[in-house]
Amino acid sequence: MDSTEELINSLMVELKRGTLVLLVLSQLHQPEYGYSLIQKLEEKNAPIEAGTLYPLLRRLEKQQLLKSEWDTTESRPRKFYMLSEQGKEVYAKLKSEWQTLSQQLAAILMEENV
Amino acid sequence: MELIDRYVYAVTEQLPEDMKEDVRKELRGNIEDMLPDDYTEEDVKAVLEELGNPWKIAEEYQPKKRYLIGPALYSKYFTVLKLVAGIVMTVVAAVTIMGWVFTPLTEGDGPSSYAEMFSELIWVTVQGGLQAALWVTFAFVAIEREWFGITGKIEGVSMTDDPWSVSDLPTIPVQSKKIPRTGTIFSIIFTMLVTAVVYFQPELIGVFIRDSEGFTIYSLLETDRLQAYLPFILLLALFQMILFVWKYIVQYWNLRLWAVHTIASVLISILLIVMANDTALISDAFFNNKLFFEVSLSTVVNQRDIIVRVFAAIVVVITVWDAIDAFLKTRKKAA
Repeated sequence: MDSTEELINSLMVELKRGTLVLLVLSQLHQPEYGYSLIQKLEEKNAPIEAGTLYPLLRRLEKQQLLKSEWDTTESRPRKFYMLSEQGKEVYAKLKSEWQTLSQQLAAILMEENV
Repeated sequence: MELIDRYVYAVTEQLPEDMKEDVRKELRGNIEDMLPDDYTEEDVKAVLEELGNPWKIAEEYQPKKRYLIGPALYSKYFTVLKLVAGIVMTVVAAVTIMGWVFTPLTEGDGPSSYAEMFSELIWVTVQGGLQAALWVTFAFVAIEREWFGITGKIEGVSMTDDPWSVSDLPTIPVQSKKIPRTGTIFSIIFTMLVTAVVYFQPELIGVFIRDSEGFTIYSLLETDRLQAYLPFILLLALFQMILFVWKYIVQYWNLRLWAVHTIASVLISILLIVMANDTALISDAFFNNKLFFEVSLSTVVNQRDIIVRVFAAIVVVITVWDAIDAFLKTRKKAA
């Protein structure tokens, strides 16, 4: 049914949205700019929409999880983002929370399969 | 490339000035990164379509609140909006119609002037409604944005991100404490009508006597003297209106509401008694009218004294009774 499909789609978007921040933070131990990050995530089979990523980087910077720097040495100026000290701390915490959560969830889902 | 410019413009157009330039530079760089070295217009189209609707991206960038009135206040806003706009429109229409009734048409009475009157009625009513809607909206936006520091002080309004404790739980309404909304609406309309009459047609307040030429009005109030009282009357009417809206919103008596209610009625009583005692406002001549006072001239002054005293006593009794009654209601517990 169409409406079921739609519902699944919107729930999927919500599920993924929660993991986006973790995904982006995980890739920013070294400086990256918008497009390089997109490529990197694509290579790792976790593609993210450009239209979602660019504003997200900015928001994370505003929350002081990322620091940024303009690189003007190349022909085209690029804004590079990297984890701040606070960002590293938050990332480590989120990561362990996520691992606990996914283990719990996996266990619960497994139980149901029986 | 013109398409890129237009895309970047569409995204950054609504953003605050301090971030606009930076977002513009970054987005443009990102788009160029996504293009091959020697790109064609087709490549640009493909990249922009991949990025998607620029307004959606702009929304993601936007750091400000993207709504005027949020979900926490929305239903209250709607209730108050309907109430205030409804009342203002009713009263404006009523006052306009009253104005016609009391000012007889002189020349040009005909279908065309009736049509004009009708369109005037619609126009003032719609204008009144729009004005009311504007101010109600403004008030709620102020509450939402926490301007003037009033938000936390309003009963029944709590923002969802405020810290919460059990003591914030609303008390379950006690039916006997209820202030019926129909009564409040009636009071609002009544107050506005009385104020409108006093303001526009004070000569209508008086005694109507039928005689051979139709009705003659013996006005109670001296219009010139009344001017001195108008500011007080209008202020009190405004005070009352605010109080009524408050009652309409909270719907149940509480101590603070009672205190303000009592202050308002005491002020009104004082005003009424002062006015009744003012011989320049209500002249002795009013009481010296053989048509409705079968008294001789010599007893008039005495007569007036008695009437004013009785009037003052009635006003005081009603005020006190009303205050006690309302106070008892605030104290009532659930049955």
